[in-house]
Amino acid sequence: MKAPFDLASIFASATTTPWFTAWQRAAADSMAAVARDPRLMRMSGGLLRAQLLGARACQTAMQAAWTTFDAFAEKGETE
Amino acid sequence: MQVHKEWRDLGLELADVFDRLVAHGARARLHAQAAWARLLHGKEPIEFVGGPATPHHVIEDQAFARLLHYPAERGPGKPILIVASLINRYYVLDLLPELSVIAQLTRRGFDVYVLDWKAPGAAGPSLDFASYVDGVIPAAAATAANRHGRAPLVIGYCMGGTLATMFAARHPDHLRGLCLLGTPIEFGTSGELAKLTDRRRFDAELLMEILGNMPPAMMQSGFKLLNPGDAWNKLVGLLRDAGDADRVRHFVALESWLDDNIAFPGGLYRKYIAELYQDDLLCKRTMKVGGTLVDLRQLTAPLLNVIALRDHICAPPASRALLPLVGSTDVEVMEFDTGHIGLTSSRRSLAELWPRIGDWMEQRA
Repeated sequence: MKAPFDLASIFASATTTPWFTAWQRAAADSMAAVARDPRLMRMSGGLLRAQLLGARACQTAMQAAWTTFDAFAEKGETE
Repeated sequence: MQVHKEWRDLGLELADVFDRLVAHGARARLHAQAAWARLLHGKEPIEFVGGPATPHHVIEDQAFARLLHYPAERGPGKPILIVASLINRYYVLDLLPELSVIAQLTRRGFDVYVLDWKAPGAAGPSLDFASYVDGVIPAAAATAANRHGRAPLVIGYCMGGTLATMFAARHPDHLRGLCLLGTPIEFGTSGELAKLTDRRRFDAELLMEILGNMPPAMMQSGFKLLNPGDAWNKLVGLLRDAGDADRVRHFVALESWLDDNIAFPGGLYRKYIAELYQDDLLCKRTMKVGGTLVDLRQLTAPLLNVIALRDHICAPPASRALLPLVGSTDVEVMEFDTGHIGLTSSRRSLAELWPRIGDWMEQRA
């Protein structure tokens, strides 16, 4: 059965109109401007750093807990 | 402590397996997207597009890399060694049978050797520049030289070009010439990536302390930030042009390659960001590898520097900076109006740029 309209050519003609091309370019430019905004870069850098420091604190805590557990286990074995 | 390290190593190995699954998943998703787009145009889906397109075989399988051999079409030819970026797979140079730099080179009579980097796994945090510049690359060059009785000409692409430049400066008798594609040397001028890795907001040391290796997804998010509207534009382009099967195959092949990455070895990543992106030591002639200085004046092999004028990963000034630093007397620059990936994966580059590169190599190899 043939479709009553050709969706592909409607899409093709809509996306090649000058207004769509201009909108697409403007949208890409504004997204790039947001991504390169120095305040946003500073803030995301700070967030990343905070998250990494948190992860490091967790790792250190786990390591300390494991070392303590290990020490007790070794002591138990020698006794 | 020891058990903790063992769990960490296991985590790094599992992360590499996860990256492989993500790459396969991305390829499946792209084929599905392409099939839907083709359906919109009333056309059949394209055939499956896999990885490398040209037949080849593995001649060495080492810890960090496999050495692949693409034989010349008409008997033994002059050897070429390709060093691709550590994070991307090499097969952007061999995407499709009709879109393959490597196939063009073998047709011209070159024997092409390629370093196919492996995921670093638990060894990643202990790797550094010396592992590659004084280890893997010279070994691969020696293998090619032994098989052909002459040193190979080396092609370095992107970060692989930076490694190849250091290798050429430290082992000048291991190569007959050096061809660089989109290779950053003065990293401070390399564009937005230099800003993203600015020391004031990016601490690679801390990042690697936590993660071990740099995951591909995290690196990709950085690259996507360079051009955030790109994903939408590509989708619109696919839906519009899906009637043309060749375009769809090219789209699926290239996008699948973009999502097929390996982790950046953590030990190298710390140094790469700190010594190159943040301190620019290579062009200040103060960079040390394995305890000794990398002096680019020792790079005396014939040099071809290919620069993409619309490169947003390695802006042209970052690549042009190499010329006054080297000791080569046979130096040529080719500037071509394309982007970073377009250097190796566009029909125009294959038709207009690569024949010129092939001519240059034929005279020096």
